[in-house]
Amino acid sequence: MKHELTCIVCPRGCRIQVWEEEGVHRCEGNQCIRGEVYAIQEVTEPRRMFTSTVQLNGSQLKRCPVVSSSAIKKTDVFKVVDILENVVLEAPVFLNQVVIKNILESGIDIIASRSIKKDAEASD
Amino acid sequence: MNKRDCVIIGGGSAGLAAAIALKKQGIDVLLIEREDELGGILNQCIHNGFGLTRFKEELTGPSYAERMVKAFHELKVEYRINATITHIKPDKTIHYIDEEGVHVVQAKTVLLAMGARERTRGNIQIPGDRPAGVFTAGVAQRYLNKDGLLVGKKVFILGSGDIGLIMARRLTLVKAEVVGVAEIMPYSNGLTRNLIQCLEDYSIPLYLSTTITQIKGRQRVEAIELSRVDENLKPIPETAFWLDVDAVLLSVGLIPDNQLSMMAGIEIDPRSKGPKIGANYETSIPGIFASGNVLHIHDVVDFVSEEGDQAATAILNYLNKREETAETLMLSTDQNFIYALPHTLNPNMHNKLKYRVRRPMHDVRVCLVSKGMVVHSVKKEHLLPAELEMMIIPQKVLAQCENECRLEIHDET
Amino acid sequence: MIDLLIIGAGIVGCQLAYDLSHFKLSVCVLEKNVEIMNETSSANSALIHAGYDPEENTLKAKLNLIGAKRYPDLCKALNTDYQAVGSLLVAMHEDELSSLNELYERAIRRDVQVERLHRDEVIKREPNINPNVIEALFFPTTAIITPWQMGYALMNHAVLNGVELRRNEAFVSVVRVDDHYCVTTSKGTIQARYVINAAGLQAQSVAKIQNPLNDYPIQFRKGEYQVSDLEDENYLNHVIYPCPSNKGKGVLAVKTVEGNLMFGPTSTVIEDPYNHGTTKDGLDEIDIKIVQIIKPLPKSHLIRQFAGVRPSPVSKDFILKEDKGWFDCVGIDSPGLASAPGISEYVIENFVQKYFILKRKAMVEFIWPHRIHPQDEAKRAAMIEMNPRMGKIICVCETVSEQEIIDAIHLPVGARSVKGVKRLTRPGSGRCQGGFCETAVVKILARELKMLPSEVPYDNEAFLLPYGVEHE
Repeated sequence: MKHELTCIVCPRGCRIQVWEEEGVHRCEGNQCIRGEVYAIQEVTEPRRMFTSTVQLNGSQLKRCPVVSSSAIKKTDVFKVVDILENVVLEAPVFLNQVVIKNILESGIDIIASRSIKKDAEASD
Repeated sequence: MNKRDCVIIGGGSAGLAAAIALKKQGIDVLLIEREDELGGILNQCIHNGFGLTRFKEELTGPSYAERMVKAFHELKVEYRINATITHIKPDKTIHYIDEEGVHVVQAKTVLLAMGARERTRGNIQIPGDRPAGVFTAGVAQRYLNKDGLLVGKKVFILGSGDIGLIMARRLTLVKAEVVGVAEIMPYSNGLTRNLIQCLEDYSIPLYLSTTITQIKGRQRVEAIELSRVDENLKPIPETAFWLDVDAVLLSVGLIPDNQLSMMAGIEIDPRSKGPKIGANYETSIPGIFASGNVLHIHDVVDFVSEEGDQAATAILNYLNKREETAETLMLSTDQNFIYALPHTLNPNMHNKLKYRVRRPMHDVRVCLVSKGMVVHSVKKEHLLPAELEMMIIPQKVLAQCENECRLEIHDET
Repeated sequence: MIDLLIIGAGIVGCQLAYDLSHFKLSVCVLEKNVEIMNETSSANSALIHAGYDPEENTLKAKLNLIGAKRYPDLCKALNTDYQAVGSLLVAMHEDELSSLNELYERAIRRDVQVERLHRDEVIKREPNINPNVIEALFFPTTAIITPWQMGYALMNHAVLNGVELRRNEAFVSVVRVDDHYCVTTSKGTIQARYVINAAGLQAQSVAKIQNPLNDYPIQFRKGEYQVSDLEDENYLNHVIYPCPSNKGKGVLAVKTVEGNLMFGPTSTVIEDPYNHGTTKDGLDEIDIKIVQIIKPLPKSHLIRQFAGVRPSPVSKDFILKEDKGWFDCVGIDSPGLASAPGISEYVIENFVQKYFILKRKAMVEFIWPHRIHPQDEAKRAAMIEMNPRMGKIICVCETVSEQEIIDAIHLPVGARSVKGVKRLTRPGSGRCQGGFCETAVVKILARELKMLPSEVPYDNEAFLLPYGVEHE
């Protein structure tokens, strides 16, 4: 089967065709090697950096931003969303504090992407 | 009166970078920020992709901000938050208000780093009802990412710039339905990466050459009318169709926020909507400099910070009176450009030109023309309005020019 | 049992409540919206017309003159905006001169100050007028006010002096019981000896519910407007009227109290009184018509469009009629704002005084809370020293502090919605249109009114949804 996709590595936006030939992925349409790497990853196991927020208590801020420590499987995105819906953090929060370790047994952590002081005025 | 070598207005990515750079050189800096924390708009941009140029890694908006703020605090730069400037005078006195009172500071130099504001429904004049549920993308983003409030369950986004695309994904991840994104131009204004990872990944339709021509709803948005537009961007009535939505997000552009600059009497370029500057970021008032989104709209925060760094260098030169009062060259452009910066070039140094083109172009040559002759040119395979372009003009090229030069697009063939 | 019920807290209801609050009467005002002054009264040209315009021998002519005369003192007493900027009524063609003459004669007859100005003089006084102008009438008494500010001042004063305001409560039906009326509302019943129907867009429907024979012919007319940025504050010195036609006063250029320019209204007959949307045709019409009287402004200077609907009587005159202890104020369109004090006087003289011997009572003065924007720096410093939250600026475009918003919420008739805060203190009125301040305004409203942010109304309804578990 041939996949066709648009390369995102640079603004050129090559249309790349990817297909499998005797167990090896081959590309056409890319103008550089980075495009090939991207295209093959994208058809074999697409991954995405994941960012969202989780509920936060003890601060004027009501949400704490989080990020995955590396790209998660695209198919895992909504599973992670569901897990994070039940997470509540308490201020103070530290940058890179692990919010969920080894999410979905992926070896990837969900970490806080900023630090947040405890706010004396904030009620929960 | 309180006196300062430099007062920086705005604690976002431009202001922070400049403050850090100046303080490192021992300059007495005061930074004034109107929000309750430093970092500016980055704090609500929770997605990642920031910092590749500056920090050689991909950061989220808040972590980029935190890095800058940490460096800022380590240097013990003086700052005020929750402080609002009421006016800047041409003599560089700065008046501001905070909970402690009214303050006046006499600055030797001022850096304008106020950033931008969003274009609103009123600016683009979408006819129809005026119910709740019409938000600019940035306001919706702030509600969602900082306040934990959702603007709607069935959302349509007007404008395919990066903020619109990012919000399409963001809303999808909080399980709101994003019904579609419309773009009045025949091409998207966002990065390909965002088109794929924010729209295609979630099968969100992108309607090109399409705009919202009416909003309906008594208390709350109930539906929108979309129409395709012709080549002059005029809606074609017979193409109109309706979609049921409960919120509309407008991602229809940013405008440099120059309310204070205008009050000070600083000359504004109607094309970039920011102050007119020389190669050293100095505005029409000597000693007042501008950098970042207040000067022109950037797509990449790293270059906002870089402008902060460069403005800091210029401020340092000004304070040390190292600035040579050189002959300057006026820079103009042909009609292919939305704008180009700086407005005047300095023939005694390498100059970095920044420009934005009016429409997508392929295989063209960007030429600097003086006295009818091309003095410098760069081949460009791709030029997009969505991407801020930069080119270095070597000093020896500028030395051959007189009075003025002009940026033109020439066909490569 | 109360003495008087007023249905509707638009400008007529507010003015009546204010005037009646001076007497020993029990008065209640019913308003269906969360905020008062929420419909026709706040979406209009904000003008106190000098009084030359209405046709001879009409209530409009009589009451506009009374209103125009009363406003300066009223605004002074209530400390509300009143600027007699004057107006120019401009003739652009020879064939408009006869109507100019006619209006000149009429103004003289009514004792309205007027001056004829030749082209050069017009251009001298108003440099951005369309240079095709040939002649103009100058009416020095035409004034601009801030309608909702006026309404809130009147109603706050009234409530402070014993009038009851029931808002977010709609009139549903009424029955005559013995010697009084029993009014059913969306929240209960009210027994009132006498009722004044000042329900604006609903007035003729309310009248018909009271007595099906009261069938007043009304047309709903929509007027669309464009608003410019504060940048153009000094673009015009006067209100500019074109020569009126049989369709009304035409598209005007109005300098507002805040400094924005306002262009409009159009005049389109519509079926649904709550169809207050702008239209492409309407906005295009303003674009075309406004440049007939003034030099064009760049389109990028326009920051807002809105439309108001007015109940236009087919008879072309206000309908002010009693029916057995029930008084209808129907068809209050232009010059309704200018005439409101006159209408109120008329209702009191011809209706209230028929049934009550009005006795004055001691009054408590309504005092507006402090505002930081108009003050000089010394005053600002003093205000902040007294109250630090005066120095916490929430709206940067219009310089509005957190304390001012809090004060506006806690007035006797305070803001209960984002729109109410905007009307009373201006955040959201400037060039960012709420981009920088709306989220903060929602939080302040929630905190002060002890509700969740997701319960804060934008206009009449909440507009934000909690995401995850909401907490204060």
